[in-house]
Amino acid sequence: MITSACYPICPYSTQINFKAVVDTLIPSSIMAYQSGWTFQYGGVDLCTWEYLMMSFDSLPTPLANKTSHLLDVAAFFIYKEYGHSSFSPCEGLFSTLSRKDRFVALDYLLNLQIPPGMLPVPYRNDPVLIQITVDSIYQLTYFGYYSEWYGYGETRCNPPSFRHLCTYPISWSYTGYPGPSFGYRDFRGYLLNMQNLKSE
Amino acid sequence: MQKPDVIVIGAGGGGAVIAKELGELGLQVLVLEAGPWYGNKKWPHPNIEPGGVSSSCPNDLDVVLFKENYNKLENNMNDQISGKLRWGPADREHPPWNRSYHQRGFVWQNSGVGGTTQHYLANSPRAFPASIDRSWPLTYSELTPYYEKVEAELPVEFAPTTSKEELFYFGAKKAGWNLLPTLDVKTPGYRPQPNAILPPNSQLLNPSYSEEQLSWMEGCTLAGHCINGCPHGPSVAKIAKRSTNVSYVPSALQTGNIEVQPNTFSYKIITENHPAEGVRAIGVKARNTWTGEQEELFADCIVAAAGAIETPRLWLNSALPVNKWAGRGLVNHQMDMVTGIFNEKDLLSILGSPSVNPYVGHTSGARLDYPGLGSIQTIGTSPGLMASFTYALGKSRTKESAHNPIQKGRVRGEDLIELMADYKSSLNILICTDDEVDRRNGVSVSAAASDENGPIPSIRYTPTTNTLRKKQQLVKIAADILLQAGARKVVHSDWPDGMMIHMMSTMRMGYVVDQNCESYQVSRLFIADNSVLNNGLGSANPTLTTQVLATRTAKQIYKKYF
Repeated sequence: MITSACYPICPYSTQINFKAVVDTLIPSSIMAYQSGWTFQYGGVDLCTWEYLMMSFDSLPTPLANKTSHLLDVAAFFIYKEYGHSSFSPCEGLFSTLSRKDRFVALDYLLNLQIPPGMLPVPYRNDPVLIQITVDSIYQLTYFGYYSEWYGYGETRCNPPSFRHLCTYPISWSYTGYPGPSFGYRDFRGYLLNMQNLKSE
Repeated sequence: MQKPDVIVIGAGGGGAVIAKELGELGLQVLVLEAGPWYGNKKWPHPNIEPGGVSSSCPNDLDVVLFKENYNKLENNMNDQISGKLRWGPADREHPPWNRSYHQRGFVWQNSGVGGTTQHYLANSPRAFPASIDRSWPLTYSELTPYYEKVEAELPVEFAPTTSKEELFYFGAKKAGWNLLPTLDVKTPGYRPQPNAILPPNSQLLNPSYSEEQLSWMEGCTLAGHCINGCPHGPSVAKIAKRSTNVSYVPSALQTGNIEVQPNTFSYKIITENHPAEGVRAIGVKARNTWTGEQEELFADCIVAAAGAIETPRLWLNSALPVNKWAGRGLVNHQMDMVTGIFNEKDLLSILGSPSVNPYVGHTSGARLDYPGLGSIQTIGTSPGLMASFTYALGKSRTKESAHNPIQKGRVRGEDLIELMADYKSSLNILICTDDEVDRRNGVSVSAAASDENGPIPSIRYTPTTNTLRKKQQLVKIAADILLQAGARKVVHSDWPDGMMIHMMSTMRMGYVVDQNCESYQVSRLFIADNSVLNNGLGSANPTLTTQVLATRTAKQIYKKYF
């Protein structure tokens, strides 16, 4: 399922941090049903990390690398709490955390528990930007994963006007969404209509 | 067009309406729109190449092109950074236009002909009468004939019932609420959403028509794409959801007096000192978003209809006279989301079907209104929007309790996967609070950050204690309705306070503009967008009332200056 990276513009450390964050928010998993079980691909398998990087780099100020550094500082802070003071906030450190600790790192950032002076520019001493960035990590990951984006296949990292659906967006099958439609016949009448109100 | 009588800045929910009304009165109107125009032959590839300059002919509208552009895929349409329906220039390879925030949250708006009505849900309730009569310089009864006119013109109809509305009505009734058979809400109760969506085609249940055939006929097909841009109908002017690019814009072009110029960002209002009138507006400085070319355009009157964020920005960046309320008083309905997840067998007994199917029917087809508190409204979207708005945005993250079916805050990991596996059995309810105007909230311009159009808007919003109390009560009402309807679990999203979907009241009537929406300090400068609303309308979705005021303002402009 994993295909070659189509957005290799970012340094490797940024790529592995973004892979780590989407793997935390939407891991691959086994879904159990009465009739059996099925494997569900996660955010890494569906390349949602690339969508996330591309989205951050498409902002008025590109932020993918800066956000990766932000995650690294949060990871450094966690290692420090564990007594590993010999670590420095090296690039890609966030990806070495366990899934549980990556959650903790995101929560520390959201709750502004990392000393603001430690953070990279433009996040340094800008608590609202930190929180909006973490909110955006969640929101973009969920939107990228559950929308049709994976279905753009080899065109998914093209400029937006040059993408087209090449394959079935597999996440649709995880929700039962049938995709865009011309219409449905689930018409159950009207509870009120304007005409009646007017005549009253 | 030679020197127009009126320049309108913005072709969205208000600008398109005032342009059409002025055109019908015989005035020559130039409409400047910052974003692209989808479905017009002069822009066959609106996101790839600059295309034409302007259009004034109804024959330029092309439904095939419109449907090609509005392709119903949620990422393509609603990605806030690079989607077709975003706040940014037509060229999607360029970033969106920036805003600066003082709190968590974001502004969700569209540029383009039709403005944010391109992805709005077409919810068109009237303001609660008490919210007008208690503080506006106009009375509700003065507005009523204009409501009737706009409702007839769009038209507004009560939403039909599909599964999700039926489930909501079932829960609301069981929770003890009454049906409100009215447009003028004075007491609490539930009702179908008054929506600017054409009623379903009478052949919708006739199997001899395919769904695709129906999508080329007049009337809603219940396809559920309101929020991703409705493309269904036989012509641009007959598209089912009545965004202004398919309702007022075609009617405006029919007058023969309107020219619309997309891809044109207005960044300054030009004024002069007139011996009799004082400071008065005489023109607009604008910039082409493809070429960067700047131009100055002049008219006898200027109408700002750029929205509740950009209109105050325009005022402040134009160095117009100081007004202590310019940009101040922002309200946003202090929104939140509450979601019920149901068991298939319970749904089967209520609906005769094991699913809610949130992607079917009007995106928002039912509501409960409670004057004094606000309103709650059903929502059903495609799964990417559902996941990102329901489960990604919580301020808090509270662990689920075995004893409490109500879970609060952000959801992630395997919990998210499980909840999204229940997407088809889920019903969202949007909370819209009757929030209070506070002068400390609003839009200023950032001294530190500019883009190609000048200093960017800087947005500050903190809800009052009373607003938060009301919101909590509405959350309880929504959760109770879902539980009464049989939800096995309820998730309260706990949105950040700065979610800006209904932005209003930043250029308030009675403070910045008079009851005719003309600036107190700059004559011949009118405003026709949500910024002139004196307050949050009691929680009613703002577009209809803005359209009502735009209709009324057109008449006043004509009477006073022509």
